[in-house]
Amino acid sequence: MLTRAAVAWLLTAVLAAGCAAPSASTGAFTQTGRIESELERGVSTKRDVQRVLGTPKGSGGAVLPTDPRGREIWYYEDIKIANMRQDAEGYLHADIGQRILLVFFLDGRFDGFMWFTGGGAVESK
Amino acid sequence: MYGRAAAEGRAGWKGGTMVLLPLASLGQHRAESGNLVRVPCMHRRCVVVMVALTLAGCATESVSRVEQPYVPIEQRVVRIENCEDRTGFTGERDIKGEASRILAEKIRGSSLFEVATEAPLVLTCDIERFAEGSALKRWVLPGWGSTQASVAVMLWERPGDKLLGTFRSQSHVDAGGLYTIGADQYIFSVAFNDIVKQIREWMAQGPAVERR
Repeated sequence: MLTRAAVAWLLTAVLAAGCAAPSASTGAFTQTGRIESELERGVSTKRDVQRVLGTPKGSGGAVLPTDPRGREIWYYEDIKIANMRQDAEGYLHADIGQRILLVFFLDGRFDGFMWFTGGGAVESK
Repeated sequence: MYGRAAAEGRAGWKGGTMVLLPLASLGQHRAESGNLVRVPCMHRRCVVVMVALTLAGCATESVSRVEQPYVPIEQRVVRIENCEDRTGFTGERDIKGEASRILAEKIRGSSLFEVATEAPLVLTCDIERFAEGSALKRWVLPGWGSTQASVAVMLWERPGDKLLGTFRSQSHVDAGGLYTIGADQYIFSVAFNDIVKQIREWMAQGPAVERR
């Protein structure tokens, strides 16, 4: 009886687990609204940017067209995969959302930013 | 500044499968004997299970990354700023306070820096991800109810706020049974241990050492 009860409980738990569609995220950058209000071009430092946006996920540099001066770039990403599910035919469905933010520095000072976002539903087998 | 070196490492191990082996063996014993009364043998196997559970208690993985090449540091006095919660965590726990306290403890205990309120070096900390998880869920289905913590620490030099180093650690307990209860209490400790290890390795290297 004990074994049967345990098996029944386990099955219930697994079925309950199946009800919650798995999701995953790289971790969001949540303070983008503060960029324009709290960061000032040519004045704000990297430290100020870290205070507002957190630690960047990557960094590098580039020379942009029309200006030979190299700029340092901080990279932030926020990628979310939600509602992962498999249908009866074996197709895997998920909703994917992506936000990328680049922050530019010139001589160690904040020199602007660029962001883009994308996403949608994906399907694969 | 444009040629950044990166190092990636994985440490830790998973104990979930180790636990399953003696449990499977126990089940087989039950089936072969046809009843549950062979106490001496059961007792021995229970001991094996307990040992396996104990050994598997630290089913934790860490992924770490150092993003700046070493820069010689003349000063060793650091101010530690409170961690910022970037997770959007809505639970009742004060994860910001917990993480700040643990980071300060780990840095003080590491002997890497002298900690002071005014210092030429500053450590900032961001909690990037936190999930309390559930030992019960992990026991039911490995991967479900994962306890996770991701932290990033940046080392700055004053004045001028020159960035010296970025250190990031992701720790998680994905599998295991009820013996992983409390993982949410020690997950920050695991992550900051990893951060301290990264800083120690970073400082131990000479300048211009490329990392892969």
